[in-house]
Amino acid sequence: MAEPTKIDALSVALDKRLDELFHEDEPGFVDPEPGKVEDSPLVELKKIVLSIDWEITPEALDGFLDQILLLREVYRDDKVITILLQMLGSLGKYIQSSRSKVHPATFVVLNSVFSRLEEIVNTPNLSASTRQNLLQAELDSFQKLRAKIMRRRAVQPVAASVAVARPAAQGPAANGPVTAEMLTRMAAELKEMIHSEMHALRQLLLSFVRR
Amino acid sequence: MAFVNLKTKMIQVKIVYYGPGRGGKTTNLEYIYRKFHQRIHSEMVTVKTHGDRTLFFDFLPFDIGIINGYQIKIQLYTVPGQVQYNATRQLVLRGVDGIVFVADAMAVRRENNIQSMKNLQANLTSYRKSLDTLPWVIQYNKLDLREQGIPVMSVAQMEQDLNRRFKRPVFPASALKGANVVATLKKIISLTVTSIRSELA
Repeated sequence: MAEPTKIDALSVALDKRLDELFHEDEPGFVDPEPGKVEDSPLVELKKIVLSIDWEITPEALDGFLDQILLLREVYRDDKVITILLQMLGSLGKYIQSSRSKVHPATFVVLNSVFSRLEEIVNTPNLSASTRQNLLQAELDSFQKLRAKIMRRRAVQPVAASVAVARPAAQGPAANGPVTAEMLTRMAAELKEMIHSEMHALRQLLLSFVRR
Repeated sequence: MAFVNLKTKMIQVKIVYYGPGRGGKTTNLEYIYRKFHQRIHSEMVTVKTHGDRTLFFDFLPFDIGIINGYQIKIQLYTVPGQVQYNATRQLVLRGVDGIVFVADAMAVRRENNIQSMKNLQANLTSYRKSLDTLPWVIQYNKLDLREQGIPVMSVAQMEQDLNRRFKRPVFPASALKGANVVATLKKIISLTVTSIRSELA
């Protein structure tokens, strides 16, 4: 063992050097990227959205859906934000279930819905009509994507999987013929989505109980 | 044991940020790099490849200068937190001198923290190292999420889960905002260098 006095001297010298190197109050230092995003509840979701854009992993998708669930709780009184979160949740579940077969336009819609969500969350003074218009634009894109997915499935039936679920405030049915097979598949998808939501809700409740 | 060159009096210290996926390990290094890169004259390297031989980590080396006659070089690493990248975690832990365990304070991540801690212990065992003897600290990250209405665990709860046996220094933190990131870094460097110096003497 080293002599205590030598170690003490080392510790003192080391601490002094570390204080010099990592002193945080020096003028001229800028706080790292201050701004709305870092103060926003969407920080974690944004990181995951960016990571999904780069690489889709089961963990990233689980995290994405966890975040959606948490944020839906945080914004449960805000209908516009809730619907946007519902859309993101549906897209996440669709990506999770379809993986390599996911429609390429999904990521465009996902990024667009997230950007709109970010805009609305970070701009609290937006008028109700502006918020509604922003929401409607995303609902339209979402609806179009859903129609494309359904058409593709009608042409090339695939094994049962969870499709993009329809958010509560969505408009009338998409273009294209509705077949009995599509209805059956939609019912199965809806059932699976409810099952998945209940599971996530149980997890959230458990986390509250553990606290 | 750290890489030590007695002839040139140079000590290279390897510190690994370990913890569950998305817990904030990379955010810690990013904060340090963003805020101090001009002073530490360094570049942060991120290695991201995919496949069987996965290497996926962040690396931030810097020199803290000569302390008591020894030039001390610090290497900060992160490991991938995702469960399937254990081979990478094992690889990054090779030759580790000090560890920062970054726990995620979100209530839904409780089990992930516990599993990650167990995984760390198992991986250290393969190098005949132990959390009982290595210098290490715990950072409880994301505590600021409570302000945003997101359920987070109390420090007491996380202490019970992760630090009951070890009683290591703990740092409640927000890596994103930089809260206690530097305090964590200073503490682990201090503990690790002192430990190495003690072994050398």
